[in-house]
Amino acid sequence: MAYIANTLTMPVTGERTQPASDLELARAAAAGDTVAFERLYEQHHRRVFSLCLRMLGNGSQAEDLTQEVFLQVYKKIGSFRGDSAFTTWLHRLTVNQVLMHFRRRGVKLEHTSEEGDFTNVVDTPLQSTRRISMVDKLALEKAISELPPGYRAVFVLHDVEGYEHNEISDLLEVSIGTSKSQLHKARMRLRELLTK
Amino acid sequence: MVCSQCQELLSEYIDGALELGEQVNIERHLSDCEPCRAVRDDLLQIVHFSQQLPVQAPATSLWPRINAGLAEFQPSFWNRSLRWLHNLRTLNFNFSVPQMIATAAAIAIVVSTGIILSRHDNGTTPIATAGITLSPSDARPLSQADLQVLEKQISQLSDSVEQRKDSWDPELRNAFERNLLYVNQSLAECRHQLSDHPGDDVSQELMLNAYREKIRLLEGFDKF
Amino acid sequence: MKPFLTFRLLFFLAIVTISADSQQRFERSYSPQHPAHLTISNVNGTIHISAWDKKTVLARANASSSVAFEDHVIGDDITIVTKRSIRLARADFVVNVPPDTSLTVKNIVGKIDVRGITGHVSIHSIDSDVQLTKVNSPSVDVIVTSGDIYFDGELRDGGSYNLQSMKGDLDVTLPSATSFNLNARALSENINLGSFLNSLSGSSRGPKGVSGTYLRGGPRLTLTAYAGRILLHKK
Repeated sequence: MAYIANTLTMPVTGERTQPASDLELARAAAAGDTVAFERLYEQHHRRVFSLCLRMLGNGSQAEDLTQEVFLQVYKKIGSFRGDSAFTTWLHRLTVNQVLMHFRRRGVKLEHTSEEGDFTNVVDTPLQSTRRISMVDKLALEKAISELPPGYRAVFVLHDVEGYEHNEISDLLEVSIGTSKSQLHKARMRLRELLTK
Repeated sequence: MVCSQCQELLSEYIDGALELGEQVNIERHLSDCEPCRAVRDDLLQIVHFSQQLPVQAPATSLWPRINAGLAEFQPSFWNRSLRWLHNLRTLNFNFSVPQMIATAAAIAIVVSTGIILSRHDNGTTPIATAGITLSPSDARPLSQADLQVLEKQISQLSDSVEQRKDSWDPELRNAFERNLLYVNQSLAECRHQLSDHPGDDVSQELMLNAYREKIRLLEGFDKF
Repeated sequence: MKPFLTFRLLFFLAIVTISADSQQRFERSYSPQHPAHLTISNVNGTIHISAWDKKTVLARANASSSVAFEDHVIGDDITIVTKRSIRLARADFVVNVPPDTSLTVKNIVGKIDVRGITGHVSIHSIDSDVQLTKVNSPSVDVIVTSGDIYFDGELRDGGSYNLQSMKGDLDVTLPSATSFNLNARALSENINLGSFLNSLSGSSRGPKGVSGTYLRGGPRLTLTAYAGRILLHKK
């Protein structure tokens, strides 16, 4: 009883230490506590929405997908064991929903350059190189939304969300080489868009 | 190293993913090439500011939509039972303190009821325990005659398909068996739903539809 | 020794050639006088049908050599069939049609993709993901045993739109000003109406289904999913 008095849950073996609030909320939500689920939503919905928005490039679809993500979270939260951080689990679920969304629409994420492979090598001294400054974060967001879906997916996952190439390779079912190549093309394309 | 080779590797260079030898080559080229340095600097800026992009927020009307979806989402009796059995098998329960207290109280009531009743037991009356009795539904279920007709049709088609199946190539056989499994799973789920809620029109309609789908599947493959 | 080695090499090449599944190409063009009704009945392979600005129907397919094609034309009814055999030989169709062509597509295995059609659409398959984009038809009837169904198009007043999958999601994108009468049933997974939920009137909701009228109502939208979700999005 002393152990139960100190914790809100029964012991589960093999569990790492978690930020108490997310794991406790997840367990309470799994037991049907909708208030706990709402708190999880409040803490994480912006990050989920941002990822959806940047991957899809469309606000209305991003909201729909965010809604779907949280419905899936509600359904699957009983399977969250706490052996990874809740944010990691949620993030991966979000990425999978986005990829399923792309797949249903026939959006191909490989070789999605509309203009063919990027071959525009910069080999002359630039008269002016417009540097991207703090005030152009909006321009950066806009430029990201203008990337082809395949470039956008790799760029958002790697540079914005911090995934490694081996993880992106698993998620998008492409080779690590393709992931690296798409990332480089995305960055160079963004540079073009931002220096117009 | 020429500019095209250098620029092709710039992303990996700024990510620190190059071997030492390649890194040295890049740096040697960059030291003498202003255009490539400009590209490097721009890419660094893009990466830097991408990592600092603000988190966006959806419309405030999104939570009510999600909440409405939660209210409608009810795990089926079958799923709840399976989940509970799975938890029992893996000894994985998540109880809050109020739930544990309530559970302990319920167990205490059941046990004490059992003890009290057993003291009055004359050896022939079974021990009564607290339980819940489902009241019989007064809604009319699907007619047995309808189901029998469908089952008979399915049985005939299945026999015909079974006779032919062995001569099919493996890919065709796999496609058939996979899709038959899906249909049978749906039928089983419909039956569970109806056993929970015999008067549920939607489940009845879905079950009839699932039977029709099974017939369509069998007819489709019966032509091979 | 040399002739013997040469013979062995030739024998090996012959075996390889005979066992290779060689390809064939099917191509037909049709010139209907009025809006055509095209029926494609395939067994295994993808079917891509898209509208173009010509008045002819052009049907092409890459297929393995064991596939037998049959086509016939009666008036404006065009039928193309690949004969069934116990081998699941493959034929991949790419078809261009005038937009007002009505389509009947039957398949067993393989993705089906329809674009830009304004005629009636009927698709029945066993194991197919189905995509309907830029579709503005008076009726759409899609039934698959397994596969996702994606619809991105418009609904017409008085029209009837039926999507059903036993194993797969139904994903529907409609213009936000579209009116319709909805009957959505999902046996095991959730129904997510997105922002359509707010303006759904006269609705009845149970654990398995949602029905109601969106805006003025009119076109009948029937969505049935057994082991899959139903998702609605506004364009």
